Formats: sequence, C-alpha cells, structure tokens
Amino acid sequence: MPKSNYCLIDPDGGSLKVRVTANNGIRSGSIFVLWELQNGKWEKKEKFNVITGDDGVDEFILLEKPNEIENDSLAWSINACSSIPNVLRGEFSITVIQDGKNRWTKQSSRLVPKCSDGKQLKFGNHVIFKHLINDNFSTSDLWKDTE
Amino acid sequence: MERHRISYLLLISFITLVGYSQDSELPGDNQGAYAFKLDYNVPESPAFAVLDANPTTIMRASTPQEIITQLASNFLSGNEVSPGLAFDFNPYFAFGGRLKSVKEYRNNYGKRFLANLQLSIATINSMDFPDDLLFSGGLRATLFDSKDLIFDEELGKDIDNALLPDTDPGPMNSDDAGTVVDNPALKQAYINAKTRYMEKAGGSLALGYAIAGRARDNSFKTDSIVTYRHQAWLVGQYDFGKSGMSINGMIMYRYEQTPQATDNDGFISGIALRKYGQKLILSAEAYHNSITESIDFGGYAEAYLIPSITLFVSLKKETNAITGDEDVILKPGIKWNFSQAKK
Repeated sequence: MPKSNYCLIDPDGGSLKVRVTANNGIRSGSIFVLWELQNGKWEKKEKFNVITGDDGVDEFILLEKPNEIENDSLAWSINACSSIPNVLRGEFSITVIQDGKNRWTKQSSRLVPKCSDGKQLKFGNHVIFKHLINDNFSTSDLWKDTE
Repeated sequence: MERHRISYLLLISFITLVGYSQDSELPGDNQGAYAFKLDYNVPESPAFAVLDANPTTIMRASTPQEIITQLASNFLSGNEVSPGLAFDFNPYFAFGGRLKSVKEYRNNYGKRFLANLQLSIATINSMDFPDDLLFSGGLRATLFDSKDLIFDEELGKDIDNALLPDTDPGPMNSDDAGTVVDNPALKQAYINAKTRYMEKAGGSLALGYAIAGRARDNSFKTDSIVTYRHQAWLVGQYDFGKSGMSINGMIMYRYEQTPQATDNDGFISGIALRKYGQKLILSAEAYHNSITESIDFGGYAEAYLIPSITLFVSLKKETNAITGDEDVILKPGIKWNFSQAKK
C-alpha cells in the first residue's frame, strides 16, 4: 500500500470531516464506507452517500470518534460525468479535515465522459487512519515505525 | 482534388490538436457503439455561414449543445458542389478555462458567456471560385438563452441520482485509474430532458462574426491569400413550447469583394419558422438581401435518425458569385458530429 493511503489524525482532536469536490461542472455521486477490522474480518461501521451536485462540493462528518478509528479504512466509490457540453476534464479532491486542519488530501485531474452520452467514469480508493503521536513528530519517523 | 485533400488534412490536424488539448488520454476504452446525444436545435457553424455553406440563411440562436466538428456534404445530390468541413470548438475550455461548478455557470454571466463561445474554422470547395481554395473563421456568442439545458435543475437531480453507486466499496478498494461504463439511467435522464426542452417556451439571442478568404490559384503565398467577405449578425429565437414551433429573426451586415464589384455591402435580414419533431425539423424562411436587392425564400428539412448524424435537404435560391445567375437548388446532405468518431 502506498504511503499516501495513510491519514494521520489526532486521537484527541475533534471529529473528522470528509470533503469531496469536483469542478468544471462535473457531477459526481459516491458512496463512502468506514470499515473496521475486527477479529481478522472487516466490519462496516458507517456509510455515507455523497453528491457534489450543482455546487461541486459535498461533505460529511464521521460519527466515530478519532481515538476509535485507528487502522480503520475509509473506502469510496465515485461515479462522475460531465454535464457541460464542452467539458472533457475536471479536477477531483477528497480531503479529511480535523479541527480546521487538512489531515489528508487526494487530488486528481481526470477525463470524464459526457453525461449526455449515457456514460460515467467509475473510480475509487481507500485510506487507512493512523494516530498522530504529536504535532512535532516527523512524518518520516512515523513511516519508519509503521513499516 | 489534391488541394482539398491538403486542406482537409490541415483542418483535421487542427481538430486533433485542439480536440486533444483537454484529453491527453481517452477516458476508458470500453466505449459502446451507441451514444445518446441531445443533437437537437444545434446552432449552425459561423464559419460555414460566411461561406454560404449552411443549408439555411436564417440561423438559430440557441446555446451550442455539442460542438466538435460538422461535415456538411452535398454528395447525395450528385451535383457539382463538393463537400465542406467545419470544425467548431469552445476556445475557453480548449485552452484551459475552468468552471468551479454548475452553480457558477448558472450565476456568473461572464463564465457562461465564455463556456458557450463557438469558434469555428471551415474550408469548402465552391464553384463560385473554381480555381481557389476557400477558407473561413468565425466566432459566435450566445448572449441569452432561457432554455439552456444546464439550467434544468430536474436534469441535474436525475443525473445525481443516476450516478450514485449501487454497490458499497470494499475496505481495500483500489481502482484509482477508473473505467468508463454505461449508465442507462443517464440516457433516460436526457431523454426526459429532451421532452421538457421541446415543451418549454423560451427565447435566445446570439451574435456572430465571420471572415472568409481564398487562396488564389491554390497558393498559400502571402500575396495570394485575400479576404473576400466579412459578416456580422444578430439572431433571436423564440420557441413556442408544446406546439413545437419556433420563430427566428436575423439581421446580418455583409461586406464582400466579388469579381463583379470590389466593394459590396449591405444587410441580409429575415425570419424563419421551424417546426420541431422528435426526429424531424421542418423549416421555411424568407429574407431580404439589400446587396442583390432581392427577397428570397427557402425550405429545409432536417432528420435525426442516427445519433450524431443529421440528414438534411434544402431548397433555396442561390446566386453565382461570378456570373450573377440565379438558380433554385435542391441540396440533400449530411452533417456528422465527429465527437463520437473520436472515441
């Protein structure tokens, strides 16, 4: 798993907010699921429908407290298409926010089919939550620990 | 014919360059053969207009639905008029322009204006100048369109509902590259939108400018290229809604240099009535040309039988630019939207 699939969060901080954006008039609908590994088996803990719609942005707040989600996986599946006739490409972002700080961001520029063609781009990924030891702890040291 | 092959090659090269400026790769390779398009009430190419290559004189004012390339060909008629090729694109998006969201398109007039610009280049073989290569460029701007599809909030909601995945992602989901897949619910959303579009009353207003030139004796030397026509126009359209009737009014200023007269200018103004059906559009137009001091009439039928392909036939009085002879010409033809062929 690439390091970018880990999100470092403060276990004593506030709730985690997840923001999804799509620009250029691209519409997207997605499902986000929070998974927890219990006794070697993944269990579904929370599920959110996310629609970026006319504003190009949507967000949700994880109900689970940050100190209870270490090693949990937040997985998503996104469908997107372009509703503006001349647009073929747009930028997507998924950001995990805690106490106003961006804890993790994934941005991508993607070609999308036109909605009017009856086609959609389907893509997805996941991120694993890890507890941040303290704010001064360097990320590279943390990777040494986790690997 | 060689010079026309060269001109098409140049045009297609340009199409490729601009068409791929937004997409360095294709969005998936599993494109189906069928693709639904709202290929309905699509405005004419401004570059074709200045070359008199459009089958009608009075143009439409609606927002461009889908702009890539139109091939206008009269080969079905078997007469001596050769086909032409126009490439229409939006310069704002083609050269990196961005919108924040659909809401910005709806609320920001400037961005909407840019998103609906139509830049057009074309080339055509004309018997008016048999030894020359004709080419043109034009720009069209939609000033107002109360039937713009992007304002259809119901369509937006239908698309959003259609896009929600029907299966949950697994904990180790990893499909970052993504794939393009069919979604029948999206097609249905646009079929419903087309019905609403047809039944809605509303107006639109557009203006355009185009310039035509010719490369004399097929030479691209600087002193062989001359412009022979400029025109600017304002066109308004009103759709009456459920009756499927539409009225268009246009006023155009044209300046041209012909073999008969070095400086001709005047106004072409007229109206067109159109009857829109699901698969067929019928049109009749009448216009006054102050340059030739004549009142002319035309008829036009347009059929949408296959996605991305429009079959048309027009009956129109035309004046030969060299001899000045007038003829009523029946022109069957085809318009092809290359955006599907690209995929």
